[in-house]
Amino acid sequence: MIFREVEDRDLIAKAKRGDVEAYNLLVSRWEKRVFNYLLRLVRNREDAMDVSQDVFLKAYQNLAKLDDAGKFAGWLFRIAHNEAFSLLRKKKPEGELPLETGGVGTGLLPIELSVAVESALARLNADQREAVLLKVYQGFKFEEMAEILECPVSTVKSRLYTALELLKTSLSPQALRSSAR
Amino acid sequence: MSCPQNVDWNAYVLGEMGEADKRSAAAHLPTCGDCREELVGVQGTLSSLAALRDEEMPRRISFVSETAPQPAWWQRWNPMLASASLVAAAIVAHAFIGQAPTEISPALQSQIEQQMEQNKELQDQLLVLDQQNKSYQQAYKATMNLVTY
Repeated sequence: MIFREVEDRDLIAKAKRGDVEAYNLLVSRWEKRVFNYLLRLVRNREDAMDVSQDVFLKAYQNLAKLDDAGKFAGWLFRIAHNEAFSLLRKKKPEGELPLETGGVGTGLLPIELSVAVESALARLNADQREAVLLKVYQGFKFEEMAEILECPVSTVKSRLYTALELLKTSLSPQALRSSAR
Repeated sequence: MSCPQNVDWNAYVLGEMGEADKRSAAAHLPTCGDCREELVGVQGTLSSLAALRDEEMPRRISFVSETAPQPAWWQRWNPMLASASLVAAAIVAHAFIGQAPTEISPALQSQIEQQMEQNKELQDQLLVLDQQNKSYQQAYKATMNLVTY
């Protein structure tokens, strides 16, 4: 992780000086994480891909404004968050979205569990889902999440804990068994 | 949860608890069934969430350089221009370091004038090409092209 940050710093410095190849390397290190974060958030592969491209273009255009290269991850996810929510606002209000649960079979094979998790995440509202994505899948600290989401740590914790409580119910062994039937 | 200690097991599992609190929570755990149940629930949820794997991207993201790569000086010369220049240089060199003729023969004088005229035409062509090159580069810089592959 430390090596990665050091290398990122180097690439960021080069990209700031106009080295596009260095920026491409930086993109290649982060694109999958950003794409998967956006995919879970906007829940559409093409939208996630388009937004990912926008995120990295905006990041490139604004790289000079990034004072501390050590905060690149949070800064990048802040851009991703803004872009994703801008898209979500343009689309219909979330409401109850249809869930694709048809893939769950009778057992709990990894792929089936993965489908169940995807469905459970889809049942959360966008704020709760994002809190889970940033903490559980991206490993950000509460303080970093508060910076990305521009809200107090208490709000971050509240969203995350509510989400985990809901997920605990929908991903409990009983719930998984019943959904598998 | 009915335990009066009210331990934040989410923070415990998510690595957001200070060392002292963590030690205290760990010490409390064997004595409290409610907390054990709570902890198992949190761990179970996170373990299920871990089943969701990252997906591969449909395509990779890559940017092209804003500035067109500059050709090396030798690449800017086309062979015709280069050879004409060499001929001109040879004539000039011959005039100065050759046999040092006391006077230039009319034939040589004519050849030099002809070559100088040709050089001027080639220089004009070079200027036009250079101008075209600059306008292409400006058009290229005007857009930061995003390409995917």
